[in-house]
Amino acid sequence: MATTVNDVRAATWTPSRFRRMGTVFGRHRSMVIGGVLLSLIVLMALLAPWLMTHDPTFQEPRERLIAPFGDYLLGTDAQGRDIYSRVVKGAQLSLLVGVCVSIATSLVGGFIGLLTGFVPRIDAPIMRVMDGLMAFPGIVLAIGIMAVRGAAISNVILALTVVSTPRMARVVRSVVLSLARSQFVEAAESSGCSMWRVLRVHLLPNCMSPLIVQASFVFAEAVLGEATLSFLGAGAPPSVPSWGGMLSESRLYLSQAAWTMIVPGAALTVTVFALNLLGDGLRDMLDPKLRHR
Amino acid sequence: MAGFLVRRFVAIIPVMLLVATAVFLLLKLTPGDPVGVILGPDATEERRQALRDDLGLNDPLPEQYLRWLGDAVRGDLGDSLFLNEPVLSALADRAEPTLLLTLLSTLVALSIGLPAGIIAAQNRGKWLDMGTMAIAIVGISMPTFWLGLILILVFSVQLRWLPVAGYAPLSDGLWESLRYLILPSVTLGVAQAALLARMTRSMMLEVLGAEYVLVARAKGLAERRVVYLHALKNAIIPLINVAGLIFAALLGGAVVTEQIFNIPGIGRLLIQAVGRRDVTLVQGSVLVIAAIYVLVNLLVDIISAGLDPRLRKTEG
Amino acid sequence: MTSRKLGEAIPMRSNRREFTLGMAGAAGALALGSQPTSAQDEVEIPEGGTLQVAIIGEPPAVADAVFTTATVTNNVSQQIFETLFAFDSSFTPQPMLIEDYEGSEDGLEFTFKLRTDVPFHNGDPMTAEDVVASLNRWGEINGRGKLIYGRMDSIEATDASTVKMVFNQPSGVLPSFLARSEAMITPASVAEAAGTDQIPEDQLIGTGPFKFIEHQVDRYLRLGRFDDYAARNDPPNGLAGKRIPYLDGIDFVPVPDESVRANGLITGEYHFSDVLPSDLHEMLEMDPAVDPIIVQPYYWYSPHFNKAQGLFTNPALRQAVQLCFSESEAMLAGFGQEEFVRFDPSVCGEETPWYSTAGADVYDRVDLEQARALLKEGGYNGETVRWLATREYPYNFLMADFTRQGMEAIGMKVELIVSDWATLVQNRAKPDAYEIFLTGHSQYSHPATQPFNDPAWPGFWESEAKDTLVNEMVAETDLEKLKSIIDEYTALIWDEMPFVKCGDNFVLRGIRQEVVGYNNMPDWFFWNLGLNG
Repeated sequence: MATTVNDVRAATWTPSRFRRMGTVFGRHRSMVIGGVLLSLIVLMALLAPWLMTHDPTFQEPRERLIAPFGDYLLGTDAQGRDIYSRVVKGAQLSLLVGVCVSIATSLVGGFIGLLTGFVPRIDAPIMRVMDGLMAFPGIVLAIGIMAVRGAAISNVILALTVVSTPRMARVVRSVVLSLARSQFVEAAESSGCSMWRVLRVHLLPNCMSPLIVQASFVFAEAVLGEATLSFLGAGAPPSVPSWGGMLSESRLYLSQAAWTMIVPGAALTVTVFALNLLGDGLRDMLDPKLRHR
Repeated sequence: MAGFLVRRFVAIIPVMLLVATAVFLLLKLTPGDPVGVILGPDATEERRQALRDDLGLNDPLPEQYLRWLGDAVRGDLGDSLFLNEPVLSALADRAEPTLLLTLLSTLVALSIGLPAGIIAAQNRGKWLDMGTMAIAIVGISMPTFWLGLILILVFSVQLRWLPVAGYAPLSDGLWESLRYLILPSVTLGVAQAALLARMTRSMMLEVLGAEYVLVARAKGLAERRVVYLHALKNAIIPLINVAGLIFAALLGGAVVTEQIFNIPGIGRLLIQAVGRRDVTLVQGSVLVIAAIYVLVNLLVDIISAGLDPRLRKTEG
Repeated sequence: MTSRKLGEAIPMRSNRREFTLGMAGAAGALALGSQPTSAQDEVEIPEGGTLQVAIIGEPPAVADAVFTTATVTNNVSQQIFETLFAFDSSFTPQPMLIEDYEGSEDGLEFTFKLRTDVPFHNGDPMTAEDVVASLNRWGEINGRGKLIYGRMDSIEATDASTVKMVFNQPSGVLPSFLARSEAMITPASVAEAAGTDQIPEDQLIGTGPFKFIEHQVDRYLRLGRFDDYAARNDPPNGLAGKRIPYLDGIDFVPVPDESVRANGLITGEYHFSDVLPSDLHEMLEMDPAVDPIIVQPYYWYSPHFNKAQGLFTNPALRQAVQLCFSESEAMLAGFGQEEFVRFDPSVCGEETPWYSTAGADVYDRVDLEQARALLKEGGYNGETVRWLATREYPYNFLMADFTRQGMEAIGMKVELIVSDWATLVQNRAKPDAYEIFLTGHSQYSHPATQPFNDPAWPGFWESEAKDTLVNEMVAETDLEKLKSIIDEYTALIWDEMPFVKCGDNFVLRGIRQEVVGYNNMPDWFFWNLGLNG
């Protein structure tokens, strides 16, 4: 049914086990680069209180739109706030939303996937609901949820989780479906294993690697999703520094203060880039078929 | 094939019903008063109440729901509260820029993505491959709205080659219209091009490694012929899937892109309608967008199934 | 002085028309009163063409200015409808639909002699009966109309072209009220049929130079020239005097996004654009096809406290808020460019005869210590201050957000409730829904006509001292005496602190070079104006 960018990535995917992780890691440059970049951004978010040079929300109207590399490292925005400190602080929001959405999606989507794949009776109705959710363009659905729930970080997380859950469920379900028919599950069942044990011992571990790969892409999409919502004015409350919100505010000052647009956009792109590299690397590593490419 | 078609069509009904219900509930739960929007801030409470009665907003929720659903099934999405015109005609009026934008973006995506993917696959492991794929992953990672702003900064604000924002209808002439659409289509098309390049490369590699290609090569066919005749032909089904995905992604992306470039299309109409609490218009346009979404996916499934009978058995 | 400051900040090219009102300050404003402005006497104005005007959004109630206080509606409506008086360039009311009038010494009786040759757009001549019916509707549903009707004993048409109004309290300021676009004259049948409702589109019939043609929501509101328009003979001055419709028509196009308005002006899609971001001033300056227009005076801005209910019924807490932030910085936060703001405690612009310097010792004073002490004295206990804000007007959110910072610095809790403007306007009428909201008021209005004098108006300013002063202002016709009342009134505002006046803002508009004869008044109009090429 309805699909997005992630489906394409997930579609090239077949289940496998973690194999020879250590030796393989070295061969995956993209994953290393992505990992290092992401670690830097995580560090930036964690060390934000020490890295920031100004209060990121403090407005100094007489100091507005000051160019970078003077008193303010990366300049100030139209309200006279320090852009460097806001970008550092903004990393916290992006990562918080990314982590929470990918964990929540993995738990909820993974659970639904396992259940629908394993219990045919509930498969059809639940998957129709998932199809229904996927019939909205993700951003439209998220805007709708934000309109109902109001501007809050928790609501951003909720909205983006709702948007990405159906895909996660589909990925996990398809793995379960392919395995549920497979011989070793049949063998386990005929040898008298309980359903729960089959689920836990045989199915769950096999679902882990696709789940992790999908989760890494959900992470990237959640970071982008938060920024998009904030850009459209439907994201986190305005008091919270957000890269998307900064970009939205920069629109009026393109001609005289381009740095207000370039800095937060670069931060956002680097973060998503790191996550995508990492996701690609994870997929290549966990997928024996693609690994040899 | 007939059975497959029937099955796929029947599967749409519960999905659309679910979408319709979700849209209805979502709007009913949203805070804000459409009557206040219509009458303006200075209207008296009596007038507000009278209009609520007129619009049936005081009826019990299930009754409103059934009435709306019944009308929707008959193809009547009601009148926009704010625009004083039927929702369908409002959507039709704004379809031109959205359609053009989507088409042009697809063109951008195809004309960059396909060749890039093929070239990368042919040069697997070489710097050309790695370079293309590195650019592609940057393309995917770059938020459309940032790319849009950068393009505006460079081409409109600095070079003054193209308009900052806005739209000229086709009736103003093709070039006039295109001038406004170039930056938005590039903005929207680039990410899809990057995605397409990655997919094309991966499909090509899969096919190029397959036995029949090896046979073709062994028979002494020219590499060019191998690539274009055999490999591309077999990569077509997955690529049709990708085309469906691109179209779907563009529909969603149009909401953001139309907002940046102030293009009076369906996406912008939707955002405006949300802001104005134009309930019927939001309900109608989301329903229509979702329907297009579902239909495009159905079309992709049917074409794929037509090309490859094996797909008719499996579902989902 | 501001005009000098503006001259420095905005270099005018020699071939460029001077658009800032050439006023030399408070004293000069009066002297200028009866002189025609602008260079339109010398310029040949071409006929024909349709003017494309970008406005800030759909005008609420289309063009029915009685029905709504929205500025955009009022501005549109004055192209279609006319009033008994019209403001000249120094904001002094001059006869428009009347030939002449007589006011008694005591300010209790007014007799208006109407012009007899004035047709409505439907062809019927305007009569005293139409005027009475129109004003009755105004007195019934419009805030300022109610104020006038509240002190009026009778209004009657003594003959076909004479209207007499009798008051029970001196009301010398009446012409200033009747010159506002909401006191518009429609045929009696239209006014009576509409009553407390909005006038339907097909009934938008006035005597103005342009008539209503067609309205397509979100696309345009189209007006056409009224060929039988009856112009006055006295020379044009501000909105007053001779009006000639040169244009074939006007399309008002609602364009809510200010950067789109600016862009459309530059690309030639619009000939005129209302409110533009002041940060774009430089860019418009550079464009040879476009003239930036700075409208001065325009509006002043202030957070209004809810004085009917909750925290800010206590004046100590209102004063604490005033002391916790810099009013001038709040203006900069809201409007950016310094050339577009003026730091001033007066509720009337210094270009007007009603300017006052009272309150200068309180204005823009920041004292966090004293503010904290006042909070304590006022018994503030961590309650959340609900502040209604909107992003529809960027300054509204930005000024609220800046003030929040100051309030938080003295330990107050502030929640910005952001909604669209229409919702905000509904909520601010509910005393239990908020503590503060922010809005603008015109700098060029007689202080007695300001809406916040009405205790029913959001913010709910009940004050006997204020009522007394407003009463005196309405009655007083002698300018010197009026000025001393206004000084007292302004001092009272800074003492009771019903709102905190932050400063004046001048709005940026833009016009294309092909437009000839534009006259820069705060409320735009498009007669006596033509299009080249």
